[in-house]
Amino acid sequence: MAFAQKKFDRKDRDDRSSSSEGGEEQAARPRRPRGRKRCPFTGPNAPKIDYKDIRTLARYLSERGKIMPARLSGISAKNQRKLAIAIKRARFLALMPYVGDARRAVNQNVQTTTTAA
Amino acid sequence: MPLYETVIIARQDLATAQVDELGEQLQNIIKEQGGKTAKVESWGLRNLAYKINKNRKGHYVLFNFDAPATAIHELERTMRINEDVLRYLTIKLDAFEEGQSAILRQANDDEGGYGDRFGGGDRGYRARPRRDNSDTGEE
Repeated sequence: MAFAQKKFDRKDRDDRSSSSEGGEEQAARPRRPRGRKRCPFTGPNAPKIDYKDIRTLARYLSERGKIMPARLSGISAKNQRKLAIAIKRARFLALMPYVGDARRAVNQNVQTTTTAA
Repeated sequence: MPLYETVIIARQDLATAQVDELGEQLQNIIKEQGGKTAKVESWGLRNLAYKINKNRKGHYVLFNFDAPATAIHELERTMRINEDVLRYLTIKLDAFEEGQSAILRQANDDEGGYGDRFGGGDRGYRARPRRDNSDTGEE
């Protein structure tokens, strides 16, 4: 997921630079990936969206802990709504942060559970 | 009767025995109101993603139960009064989850292989909560 985000960042930057430089590198502009991404929560083997499954949820958060837009993750609108609710529940229970690196927080939690056990 | 799932976070400086006692107390409320507890899961003392009432850690307990709505009212009223409960979340379920919940499954997964994966980073993470404990003073 992180790489998908980066691609978009780069595209944004390219757009800006090409408009200021007068479009010299316009030919090299990266195109959108072809084909629609499949919704990772649709299908027979798809994981259930669950607020307790923080490792799956963390995949759909940015480094800052923001919920990733569906257009980047390819999640269907219906599942995106469920995912958003699950993430907000997990945040309320302090399983993941409202602000900050969700992935680090998730790993940190794993480590305490292992030390405690 | 509808099916519910409640997760509570208890204060970090409770002893495990006290947390169990609290769990019993809450289960009794469910029983008194004519409900049935299907599953109780203790997730142990976990790091909170952010501080809640100056707590950095909390004891998590999950209950799955089948009870009338009045039981929820009484349960949540009791938890609001009880200062050992930092937070609670009750949701209605269509069906109970079988076996362990994702949190415990993931904790178990890591016990085997986490040494190789996180190796060095482990120490850095661990140093932090220790320092915070000394900040809080007590004990």
